[in-house]
Amino acid sequence: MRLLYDVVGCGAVVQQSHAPVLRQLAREGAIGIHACLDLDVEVARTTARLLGAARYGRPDDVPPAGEVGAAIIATPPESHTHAAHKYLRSGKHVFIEKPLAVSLAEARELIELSRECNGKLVANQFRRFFPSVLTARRFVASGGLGRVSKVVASEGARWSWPSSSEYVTRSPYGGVIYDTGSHLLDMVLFILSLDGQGAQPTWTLRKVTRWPGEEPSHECFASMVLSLPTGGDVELELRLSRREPLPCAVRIFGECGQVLVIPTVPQQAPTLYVGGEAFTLRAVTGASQPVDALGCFFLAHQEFRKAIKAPSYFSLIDAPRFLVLVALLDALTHTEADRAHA
Amino acid sequence: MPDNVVVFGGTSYVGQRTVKALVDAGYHVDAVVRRPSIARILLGDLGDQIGLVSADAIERAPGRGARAVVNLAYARDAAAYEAYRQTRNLIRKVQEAARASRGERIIHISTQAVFGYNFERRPAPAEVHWWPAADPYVETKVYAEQLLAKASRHGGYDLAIVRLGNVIGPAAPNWVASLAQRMLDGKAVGYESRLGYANATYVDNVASYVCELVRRPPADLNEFGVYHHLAEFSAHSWREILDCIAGAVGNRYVLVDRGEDGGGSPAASIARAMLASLYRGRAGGYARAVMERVDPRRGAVGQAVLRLSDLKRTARLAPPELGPSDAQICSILSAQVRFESHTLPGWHPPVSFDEARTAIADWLTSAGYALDAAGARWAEPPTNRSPLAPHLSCVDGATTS
Repeated sequence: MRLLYDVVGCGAVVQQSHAPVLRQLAREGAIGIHACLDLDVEVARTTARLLGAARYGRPDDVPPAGEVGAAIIATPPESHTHAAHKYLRSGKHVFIEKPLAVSLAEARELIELSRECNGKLVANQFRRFFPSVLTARRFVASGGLGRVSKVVASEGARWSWPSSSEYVTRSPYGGVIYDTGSHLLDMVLFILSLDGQGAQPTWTLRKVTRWPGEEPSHECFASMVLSLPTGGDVELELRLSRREPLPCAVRIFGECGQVLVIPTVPQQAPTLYVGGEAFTLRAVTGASQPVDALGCFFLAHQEFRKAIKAPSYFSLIDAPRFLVLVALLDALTHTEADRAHA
Repeated sequence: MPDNVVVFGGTSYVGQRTVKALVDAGYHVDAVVRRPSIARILLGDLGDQIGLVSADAIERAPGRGARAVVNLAYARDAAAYEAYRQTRNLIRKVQEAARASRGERIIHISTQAVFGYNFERRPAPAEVHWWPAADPYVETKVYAEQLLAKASRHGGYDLAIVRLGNVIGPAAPNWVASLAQRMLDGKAVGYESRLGYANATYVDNVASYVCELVRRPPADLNEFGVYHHLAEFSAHSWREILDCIAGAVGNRYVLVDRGEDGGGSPAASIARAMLASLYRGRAGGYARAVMERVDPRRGAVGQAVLRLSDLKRTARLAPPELGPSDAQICSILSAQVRFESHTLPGWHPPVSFDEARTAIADWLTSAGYALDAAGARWAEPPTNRSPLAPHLSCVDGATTS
């Protein structure tokens, strides 16, 4: 059955990454685009023309129409909840760009609303579809590393990309923690299988250093301890920067060795260091594998449609998987000092 | 003479160090930037010590006199079909800044790549004529030099064009951080038995040289000539730099057998030349307009262009096991010809090669590139009797050489 989408927020991520996927799905007859909505009406109009949507306008000017089945929410993080609310309340399915929400309370509220209204709610943490990440997760889950004791995750590059809005320099959710950090932290939690529906890990922040000291921050060095629901602690070091080229690496240290995952290259097989030797880990799988981020977006949209068709299916990007992530991002951006200051 | 200097591209890696050196030398710096808000992020505290001027407002730029205008900017984000137009705009703005601030000297930072990535003859410090490199970076760097040189011949300002070798230093994105990342990734960094001249310059030496060019009287510059080459470590081998990086990372680096160079078919060469001229100058206007009608989204047009040029590059460079970008890096690290320094007499680089290597190694460690030495503690490689035995089916052999 052809599902009609509204696209709410038509910025760079929609134009560069969602649009090719949506156009392909539309060509296949799987979906259609009903309306493209953005605070900048000209951007909404251009995107509507690109995606073949009949309508465009500002988000609050166009209410969810009866024939619309789902919405892509790609607005800045602070408006995810507001934008998703009206679609969920109208019984629509919602696909939210990462991160799901900016606080645990908002995330829980959205999840609760989606259950009440029978709408599917997913968040586009697309790096979960990287073959390297899936392989590392399977390897760690099967005990290949033994007990995991420490994870060091870092990603950074000197700012050189164009930015058309002031969002990243003005919004408290435009900093590196909600941007790169949400990907990197999610990869760590996913690889360690800390994203299920059961008991969740708890954490203790040891040290968080940000530059500047308030949000949006553009550098962050954080050290914390994750206490696993199964017992045992994992030390986690996180380094993020928009000012310096840091290594793009997630390193997982266990009893038997170290696994290195490159978080920016989907097809770069993880490396296992053990006994002074290096090995590549390759998963044997017949499934099609994405070669780049666009391929991951395609899989994310496939998961969304699969979850809509089979409501009991707990997809890799189902909203409840991201509660720990949302809470950790909130904790990193609102440290005790921030709260005291507020 | 006034003590103000106008700097374009001050937020780049080299630009930031140059701005700091100028401030430390007592100059007041006005940095012309595209986005002041992002410049403040990149420059940090240094941003408070200088003036930030939006590139859009350069016509209204500081009216006070400037000793020099330093240009480190180039059209880096431009799609292939836009690169020439953006280069023209940039150079026009540099010249406008010189006029507005009554600057009598333009110092333009260029690159050894104006001779190509893999030159066969020793590059001479002289004018380079435009050539179809099928690479927007190379072509527009040559183009920018030509625009400035042509205008300076009509008077108005003195011109110094400084062609840099491969810039190394702590946090250098291309020739330190990216090579360290390749070592982490297990990707090839060069061809076996063919690591060549480093042709390198250290970032603080570049900053020092720019300060020297700002400081010297006009007569010194005029006597020396327009073209300066800076690669004070050109005689050192890439192996010395790779060993330094690998030592800090704690991983061996991968060298691959040099495959047969395809050379490119005659048809590919012709297509490459056509492609290169297509986007250049007024004649390219019609072609650009036609391509823009194919798809109104600019990104899609740029992608189409890049796809074509990638095809040509693959045909020309890549051994079968390497992608185009891998092959380009391996090729640069195989340089068999030196890019020798040609600098003002009396200037000496303040940082030696050993000091440079120490600073690079220290930075790599502090930035977290070092694979934990604890890795060596795990004494037993996986065997059939090890706890890893159940997983050996997905362990796939060593990747480093």
